[in-house]
Amino acid sequence: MRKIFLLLSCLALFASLLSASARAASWFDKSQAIFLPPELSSKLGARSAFPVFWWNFVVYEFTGEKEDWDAVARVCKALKSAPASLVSKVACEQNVTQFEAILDAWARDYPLRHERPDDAELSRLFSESLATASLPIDNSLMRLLRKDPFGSHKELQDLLAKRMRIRLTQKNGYYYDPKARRVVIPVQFSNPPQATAQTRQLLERLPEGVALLGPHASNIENESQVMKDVGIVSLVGAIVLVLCGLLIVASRRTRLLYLVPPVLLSTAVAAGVTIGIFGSIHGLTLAFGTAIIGLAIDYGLHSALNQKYEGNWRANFAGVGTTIVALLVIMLSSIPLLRQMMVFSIIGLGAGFLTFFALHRRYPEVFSCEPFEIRPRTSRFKLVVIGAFLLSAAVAVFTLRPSFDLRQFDYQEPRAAELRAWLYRNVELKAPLLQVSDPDSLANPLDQAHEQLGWAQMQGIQVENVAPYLPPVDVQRRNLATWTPSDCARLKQNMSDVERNFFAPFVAALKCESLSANDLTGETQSVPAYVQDFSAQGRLLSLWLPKTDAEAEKIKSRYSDAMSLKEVASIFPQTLARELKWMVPLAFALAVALLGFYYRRVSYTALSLVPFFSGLGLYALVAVALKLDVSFVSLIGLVMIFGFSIDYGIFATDLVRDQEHHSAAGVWTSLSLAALTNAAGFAPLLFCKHPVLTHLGQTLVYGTVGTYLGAIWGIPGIRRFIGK
Amino acid sequence: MRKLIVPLILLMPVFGAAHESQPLDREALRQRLKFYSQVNELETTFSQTKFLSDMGVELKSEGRFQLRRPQQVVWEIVKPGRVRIEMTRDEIVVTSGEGASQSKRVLKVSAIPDEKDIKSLKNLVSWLELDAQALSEEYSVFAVGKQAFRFVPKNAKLSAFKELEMTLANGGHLSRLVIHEPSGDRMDITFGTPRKKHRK
Repeated sequence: MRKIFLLLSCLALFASLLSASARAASWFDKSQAIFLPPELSSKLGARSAFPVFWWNFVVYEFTGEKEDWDAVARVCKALKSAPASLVSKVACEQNVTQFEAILDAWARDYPLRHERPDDAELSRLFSESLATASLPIDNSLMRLLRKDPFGSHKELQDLLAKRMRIRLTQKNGYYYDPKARRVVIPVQFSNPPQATAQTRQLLERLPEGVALLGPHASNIENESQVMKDVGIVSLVGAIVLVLCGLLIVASRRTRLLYLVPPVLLSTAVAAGVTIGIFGSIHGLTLAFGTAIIGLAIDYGLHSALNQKYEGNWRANFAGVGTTIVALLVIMLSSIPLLRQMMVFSIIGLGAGFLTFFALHRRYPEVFSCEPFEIRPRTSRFKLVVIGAFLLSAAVAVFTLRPSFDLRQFDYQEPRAAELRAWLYRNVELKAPLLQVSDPDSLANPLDQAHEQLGWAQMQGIQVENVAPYLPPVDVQRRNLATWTPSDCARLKQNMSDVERNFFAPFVAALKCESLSANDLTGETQSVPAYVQDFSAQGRLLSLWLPKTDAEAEKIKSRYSDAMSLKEVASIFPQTLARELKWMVPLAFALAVALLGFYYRRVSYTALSLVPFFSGLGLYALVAVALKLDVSFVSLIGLVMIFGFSIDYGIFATDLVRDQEHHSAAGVWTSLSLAALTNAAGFAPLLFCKHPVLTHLGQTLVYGTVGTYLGAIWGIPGIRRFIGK
Repeated sequence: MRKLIVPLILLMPVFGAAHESQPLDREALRQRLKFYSQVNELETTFSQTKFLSDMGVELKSEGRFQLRRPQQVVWEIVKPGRVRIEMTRDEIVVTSGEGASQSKRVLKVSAIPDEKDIKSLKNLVSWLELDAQALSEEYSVFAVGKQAFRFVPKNAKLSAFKELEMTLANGGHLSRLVIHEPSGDRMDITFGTPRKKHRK
């Protein structure tokens, strides 16, 4: 047995390390798309897929008496010196260089936008460019003029100027709020917000005292806080578990430690199978699912400390059955995250249960352990307390309204929240309506963009899409028809020596024989740099900017697929709320049916549910008294409470039903140890700052205490009361 | 005679060096530029040749220069094409082309960064105000001939120009300006006789 234990321990350690390395692996999923049904996750993904949403804002606040513009210049320099793999554009001390790729593409595509000018007009355009070149201008502007003799960069500058809507004045070339003494530097990242490693690389290059606001900053903030909280949880949790271990060792019940490796092993097995099914595993699945798998230890404890009872594993089976039934119902959710969490939990719980069953049947003497002398006494006071919990639960079932807002997942430090509120007042960040082209649609997305622009202009509604930058395909073809090889040859011939020399890069790039229309599908040509902000994964984005609700309604009535991010974000809570309305009663009914089948008596069936309602009741009371936020994360916690509370209920009910064949001390010891490890394990979450972890901790700690009291005070007390 | 020539020959570099390296202080520069000190408005023509060193190309242009104190300068190129730059204390207006094809850009001075794209323009038009005090603060000035001067920026990093050579006509007005840019390009501007209005 020792060999098996050692083998199990090694396997468990290896598997745990493997699971831990999932954080660094590509199959560790940190995305938000998993919160939505697939057909809608693309809408949410639009925010991170399209570079137009990769703009953030660097904020520098003057703290001294004098405005230190040299310090601001250093921040600007740090941003501009960042490699192109991190930063795409920086709106400070702007020069032509950082837009060179865009301007080159714009100049190259002049024939798509314009017919060939006649010879007189060409001469005028060349003369104008040469006149500009005769001014004292920088090399970068000189290079631009040489490639763009038609001065087409001016129309692009006008188009881009309309897009930046910052209400701040400018000073020394920077956006500046003199009241708040804050400088704002818009920065476009080269990677989506979830590429936090790259965002951190850029933050390391910035001087101290600089704040970053925007989607990339939010991701970093949340990730950092979760990491800090996980650090706290890991440290405190480890200390708590070590203390529990020491308690077990000090009490000479070291065999109980044999129960740990099977739980770790089944967690690793569950992680591996989940990754195999889904291709990746989400961080939340690992966090929540692992806790559910930990419930398997209850069965090990119950068996180890109550070996006298022959119906041990029948009771354990009833316990795991009721838990798995509830998890199976939730697995029917259309929300991918919940499906993944349930698959992970069911596999892990099942694997843990089977492992314990096999080991305890094969080596019962190895796991046999002397219980503590825990023999709770009933009292009227304890019965009244439980009664209060049950009443609170009855009220909570009808009155508890959890918040389903996805903003629960957005942690903001107080200072960042204040800066964000200030920034939103000064930057026109009205919630736009997003419309993403369908890659499977037969209609050409560029033509669709022009149709949208045309309609928008007629309605006086603002829309930003690729249409102003590229004409429809048929117009491109008409323009290109005037740029025949002979037309281009004549253009070159008519140039003076000075013009031919100065505009040599333009002449070299002009290849009329290979000009062709670009429909932006990416099939024959790549998407040009000047519209890449609106292009991602073969789809084009349109941003509608309604000024009023009436305009928004008009847009939605014509384009039903145009949705605001707020609407997209509300799909998750709406879907979850809708599904919970039938999932909760169904899961509960199935679990009760199983219990009814197990006990064949209504009274015992009802008795076994006391710990759950007691746990729910205590949590509800604390939530009201301490004004805790109740969210859908709290509901996930209640699912876990439901899982182990039924186990406690079954073990305690079996005991009061048939004391003769049980070890009372064994049952109470197993329940006490299970509740202790639960509460101790989840208590560190109470000290976390991230709302997801805090809400989970609150539900589990108070729920566990209430569940335990319901089992140890409630069941014997009610049984005695009914017996009277 | 030979005995006289040799010492003279030996002394010539000293004389030459004394001419090239003879610094001018603010007061001396003000004296030389006294033509502009009492001017309210001034208008003149110019013809310019810009030598683009890396291309080996010469760009020739002609235009008009107007100065209206305080702080309004117009630099207008009429040939080969039309580009007009008007600079005031608060903004720079760049107008290209004419008629239906005209385009206009207005840049607020407060929004203009120190980047050299625009700084060159700012430097040129500020220089053309010919304010002796401002020029003395920004440049080290050397007399290299009776009416010829060399301006070297005191802080090369802050200046868009590497060096300027100015020649005054007998009447005291600016007749030629040669601008050496850090890129190696050179602008050689010849000015006509200005029309002016004096301060009352």
